[in-house]
Amino acid sequence: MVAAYVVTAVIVVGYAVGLWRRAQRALRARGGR
Amino acid sequence: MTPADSARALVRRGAAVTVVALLALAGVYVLALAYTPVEARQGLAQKIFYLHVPAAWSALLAFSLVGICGGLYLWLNDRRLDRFAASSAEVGVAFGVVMLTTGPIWAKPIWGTWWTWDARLTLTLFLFFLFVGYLALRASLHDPSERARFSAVVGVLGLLLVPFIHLSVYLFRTLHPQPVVLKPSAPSLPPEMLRTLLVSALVFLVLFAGLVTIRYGLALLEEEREGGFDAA
Repeated sequence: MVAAYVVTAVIVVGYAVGLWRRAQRALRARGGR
Repeated sequence: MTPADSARALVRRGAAVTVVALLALAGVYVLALAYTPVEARQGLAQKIFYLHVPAAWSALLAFSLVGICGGLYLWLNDRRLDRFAASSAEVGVAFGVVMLTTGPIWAKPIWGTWWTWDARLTLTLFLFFLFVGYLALRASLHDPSERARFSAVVGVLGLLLVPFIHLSVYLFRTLHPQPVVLKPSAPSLPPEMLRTLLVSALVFLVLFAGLVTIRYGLALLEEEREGGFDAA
């Protein structure tokens, strides 16, 4: 059970952070044009 | 308001909703561990239910929305529908990963195996692969109009699988349990379990909304970088 709870947290937090960083990179690239 | 301003606002709004949803998810963990009773036959392993089921519902909702938006895109040719479909597919795949990892972790102690090729599990895995393929197709096509049309068709085909997955536990002999909530009769769960499940489903829905909003903002920026929809 603990493994399922840890895996879920890692996937959703990891995806959210990754998405946020991709968006910030795209915004910076847009600003730099 | 330029597309970049809209994208910035969407990313910010989506991030705020996502942070709230992640904090609420921590609350779901507390509810599941401290509030709900330990199930008599499955013990602590049953508590995976409060993550596995909402993740599965959210993934199926996300994939259904991809198909619906794809169908509407083919009809209306509105690029917002394509952006939403692409965003929903990516978030759906992330929730699909949660569903397909928590499922086997739950199955091992209860069924004695990580995986079995029964109808529900196999169809769900195929649906997941179909939407991974959807994302690969989008990444490989450079003409935005062509990409939107081709991926809309794949999204509609994926949507056709969703009802089969829901009904597969009735249509085929399967190890996977039948629905305890989404069924014609009243939910067959103790009130603490049902409440926690519904709270968790709501949190996953808010998380879906937050992540899709960020992804939609990112799609706006990507589209602007490629020079818009009409650039061939």
